[in-house]
Amino acid sequence: MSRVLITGAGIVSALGNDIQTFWQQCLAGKTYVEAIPEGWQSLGVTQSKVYSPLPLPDYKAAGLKKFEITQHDPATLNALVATHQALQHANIPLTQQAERKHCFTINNHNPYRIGVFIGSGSGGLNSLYESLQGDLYRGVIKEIQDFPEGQKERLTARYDALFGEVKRKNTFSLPMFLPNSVAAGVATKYGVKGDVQINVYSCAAGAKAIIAATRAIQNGHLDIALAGGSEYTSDEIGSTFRSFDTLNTLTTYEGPLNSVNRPFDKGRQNFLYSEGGCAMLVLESETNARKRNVSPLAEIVGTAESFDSHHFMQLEPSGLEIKNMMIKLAESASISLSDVNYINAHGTATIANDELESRLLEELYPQRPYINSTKSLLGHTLGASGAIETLVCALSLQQGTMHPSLNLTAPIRPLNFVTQKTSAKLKYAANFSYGFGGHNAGLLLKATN
Amino acid sequence: MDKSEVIEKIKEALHDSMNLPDAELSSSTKLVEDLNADSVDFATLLMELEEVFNCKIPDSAGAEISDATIGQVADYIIKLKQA
Repeated sequence: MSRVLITGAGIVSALGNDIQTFWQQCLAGKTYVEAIPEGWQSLGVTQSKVYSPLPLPDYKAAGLKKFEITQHDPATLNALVATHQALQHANIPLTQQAERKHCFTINNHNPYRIGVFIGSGSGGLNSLYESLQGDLYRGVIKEIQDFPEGQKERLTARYDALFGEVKRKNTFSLPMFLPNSVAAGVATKYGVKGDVQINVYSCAAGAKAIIAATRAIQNGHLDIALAGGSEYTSDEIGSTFRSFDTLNTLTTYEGPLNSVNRPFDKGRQNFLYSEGGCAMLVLESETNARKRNVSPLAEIVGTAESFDSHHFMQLEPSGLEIKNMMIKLAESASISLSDVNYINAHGTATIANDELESRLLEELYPQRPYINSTKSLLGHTLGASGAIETLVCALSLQQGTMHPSLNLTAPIRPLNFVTQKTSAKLKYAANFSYGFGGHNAGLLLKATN
Repeated sequence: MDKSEVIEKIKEALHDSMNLPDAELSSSTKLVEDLNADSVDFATLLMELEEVFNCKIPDSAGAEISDATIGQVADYIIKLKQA
């Protein structure tokens, strides 16, 4: 079985659009929380009043062309930006192959032995919303043309305020919102012809994509995999936010903006909605990485999955399948659960998740490994979260430093939570993700330095 | 806006929508014959032109300008803006 090394990484996030900035912000315990736009409340009062916006990168400055920006959803564009960073980080040379289409080939590698695996909960949801909002807007404006003067203008102004700038219907809206476009866009950009997958597993999507990529290299099918997660659920009228809000999953904690998101704290009041983000990793077989003489960030030594078969959105209360997954994860790397030094938990800050997860962590890891929640900084980036947190595990192992878990003033259990930037010699780090539907996923990383 | 200004903006829109940074474009350049524009290029160009000229271009425009030169596209835009 081939060993799998992480040799490059890229990121688009609310805390920075390059690895260095992102990691500095994480270690400094930064977070980006704002009050929801006023217009969202006019469509129905929400329980949660805060969110974490994702300012989109300057795509042109990141090297993308105008036609690409027109033809792709932000979830795909963010994956393209993060993948390019990751390839550069891995020092993988590229050659431009078709100037007009702005595509590349990965030098000195068989394209049939390179794959793309991207997790996303909703694919090009933003493009679907834009298309739908535009159709509705144009339909409504047409309908009110016969209304009396004054009333027509008043209604038009109202709709303009609500929907923002309504552009021409994007001819490409359909391929833009198909979830597979995220992976296909990345694969086409880099001339990849091996296994190309989109992994749609809600909040476990990013982790499941990296698991699939890892296994494809382990079993010898691929030499390189571009793997990660990308999510962008933003919409003009806050529809996704409201959908989570009506499920009573979003934070209602009252306090300063930077205090509302409190994973594993007794005072937690559910999760902070994030508009998304993206992390992409370059995974390589050890043989391939050695040939290129590159230094890895970390090694992926274990993968495990399980399925609750219980409920479309609730965790199975006993946690049996999550427990099984955690045990299988250690077994997959032929290590003991007690060898794990650091756990980047799912840690959403929902009442149910943190109660169940912390109970299992207390039961299975008596050595009390360091535990933090990257969601305490970013909020819940949904399908991107597992990939972002795997990246955080790799950086923590490489640098022997862990970021603080924010707002953990009264921990729900006496575990070894990281509440301030902490340095330690780390050997094994685990990352766990659990998604709506009952999908559970775990990745185990090992330090290579 | 006179025709020469419109032509310059169309050239810019073509550079952006078809990624033609080094192409030599003139008012007599034909979109299909000289630039090999396909249906995806036309759709992208129409969205770009709408943005550049701040006007609503009907969906039928794709067929109307499919065999056109840049100069003829400029005439089409000028007519549309005057309508």
